[in-house]
Amino acid sequence: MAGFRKMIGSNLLRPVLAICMAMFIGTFIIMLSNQDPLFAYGKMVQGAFGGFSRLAESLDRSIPIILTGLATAVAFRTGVFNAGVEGSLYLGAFAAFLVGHYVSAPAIIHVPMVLAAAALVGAVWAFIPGYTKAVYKVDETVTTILLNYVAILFTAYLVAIPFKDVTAGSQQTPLILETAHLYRFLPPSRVHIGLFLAVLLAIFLYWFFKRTTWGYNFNMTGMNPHYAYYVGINVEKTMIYSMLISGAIGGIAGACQIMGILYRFIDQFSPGYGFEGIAVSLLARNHPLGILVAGFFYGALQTGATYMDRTTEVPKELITSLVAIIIFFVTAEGMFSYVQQNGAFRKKLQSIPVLGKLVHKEGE
Amino acid sequence: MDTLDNLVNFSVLVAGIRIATPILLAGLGGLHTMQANILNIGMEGMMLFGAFSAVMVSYYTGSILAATMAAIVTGILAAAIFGLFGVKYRCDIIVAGIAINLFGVSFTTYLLRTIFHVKGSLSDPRIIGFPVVDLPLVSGLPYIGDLFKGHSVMVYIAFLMVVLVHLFLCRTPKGLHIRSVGEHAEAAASVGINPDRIRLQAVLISGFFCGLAGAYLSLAQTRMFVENMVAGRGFIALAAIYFGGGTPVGTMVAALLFGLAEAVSVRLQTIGFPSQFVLMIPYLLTVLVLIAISYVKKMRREKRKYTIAC
Repeated sequence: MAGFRKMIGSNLLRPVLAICMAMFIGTFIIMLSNQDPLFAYGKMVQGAFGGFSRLAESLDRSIPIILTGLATAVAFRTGVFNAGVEGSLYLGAFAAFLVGHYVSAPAIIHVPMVLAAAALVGAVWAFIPGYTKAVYKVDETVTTILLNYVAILFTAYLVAIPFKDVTAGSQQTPLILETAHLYRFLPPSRVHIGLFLAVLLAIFLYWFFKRTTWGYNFNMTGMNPHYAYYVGINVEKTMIYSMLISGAIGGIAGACQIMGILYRFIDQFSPGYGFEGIAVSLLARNHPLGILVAGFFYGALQTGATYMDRTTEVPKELITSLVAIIIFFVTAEGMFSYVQQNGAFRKKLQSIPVLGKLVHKEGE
Repeated sequence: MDTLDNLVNFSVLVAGIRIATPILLAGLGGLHTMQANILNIGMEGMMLFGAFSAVMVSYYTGSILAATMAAIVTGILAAAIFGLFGVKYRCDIIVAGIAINLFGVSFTTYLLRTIFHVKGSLSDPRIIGFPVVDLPLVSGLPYIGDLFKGHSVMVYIAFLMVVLVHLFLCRTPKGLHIRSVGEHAEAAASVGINPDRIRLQAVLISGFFCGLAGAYLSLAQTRMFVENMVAGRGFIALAAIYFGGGTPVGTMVAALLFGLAEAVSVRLQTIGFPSQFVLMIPYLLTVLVLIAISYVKKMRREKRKYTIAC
């Protein structure tokens, strides 16, 4: 029970406080632009959860984010900052188009085949920064971000010249075969079975990190690579493996967008799913099951924001700004240690019934 | 031969200098954080804030000086947020950088839409750009004189800054402090330097330069504000710093190389060559250089280990 409470305290208190803080700041920003914050937030909630079709849209939007969030978290857990999920996503998506368009097979074989191809390509792409990080100690943040541009430019070339659908005006490829489509189980919405894939993957990763030796090695390498080295874990190999898995999941995230939503590769199709994955992974503090919640929350935020944008005078970019503020507050270790170290401040917090217990617990 | 003439001539060089200028300015700022051992991912966001406030103040006041000042101040403010969370409150510095970039893109777009009620971009005759200056003596020279014609005053300021930054980092006590904190923070602390304060100051200096770089983008290169107009230049600047080995002059050379590559790619596009591959060059080159540097370091480490063992 104490463990559970502690888990809730450290994993839930911070994100919730951060979200409240950001919403509070958002209220001021909306008021400064002469709008009614309650009305805007109301429309946002209505846009995210009001009715079947809105809820379905939130779900549909959260699928790629959950997947990229999981991809990011796997690398984070091993102490590798993979900011390159976006690149794996683009290349994986393109691989999905290639196999989905040029290979024909019955759906039961075709779908796994397309997913496997996307995962493979995503993993190979992530291998480059993973290997150079593990072996040559090249800063992976910089290389992954720079390689994102390379991946996006490369697919932009492929879709502009060799694989362009000449009948279309915009930069896009022809459609993939119907056997490669992911089944949409909540018609008329676009929610597809990629959702189950994401949930299963999250559960698998939870089990993987909690119960397997490999998962233990991953965690150890992330927490303290020197210690991991001395207890006999092959740190380099572990880092490379985690990047491979991270890239593979990133590739699958891209494939799901192609197979479930777009049915073709479109230039610049991602509004930054890879980076949204980073935000979600941070919000969930790299906990696979937490990412399911945080990913859906993020998807709902974006869907609600778009609705708010349409129905009020408040642009949807406000919400993305608030997400940035949330990231700041969630990761501000120093701010929380200030709360914990400052006795007077803590006593004041502890005098508030429910909150006090959580603060106390986290201090332990 | 005709195509080669078309690719390598003075107008490409001049365009290269113009494209290099914002990269150079941001790079000079990022240098300070790099020297203080802080990975500054957030330059992108700082530049965006600078670009937006420059356009806004230029639109309302018509004063280029006020616009530049505003860009610098907002650049420093954005850097202050980055520094406050990244240095003082101990957010992961990479995460803080990503957050400030996200904030920059979304909040400037938000402001663009709530203040000016436009989507995508804002261009207006009321926006005053930087004046164009021809250097009086040099521009009269044969051949190379053309290189110094038609540039905005910011281009010259940027290249002048290279000298100033070099002097600042290598010849002043503050510059020495920044470098010593980057080299060995505990050692610096033991002689009475407050590492966190120095780090914060380095971050603020980078905000100053990023603000200028943003102002250059919106008031010299285009005279308009476009959503997410920085478009990766912050990262190219970071690449330029790495590429230049962390020195001001090296960064300048790298920025010029990258600028030239982009200018050539624009040219190639007009003759039908896929521009994407040329645009990749700065990124690929930087990754390769990073790997090469680390490879050499690793070799050195191993050699040292070997000699100790003997």
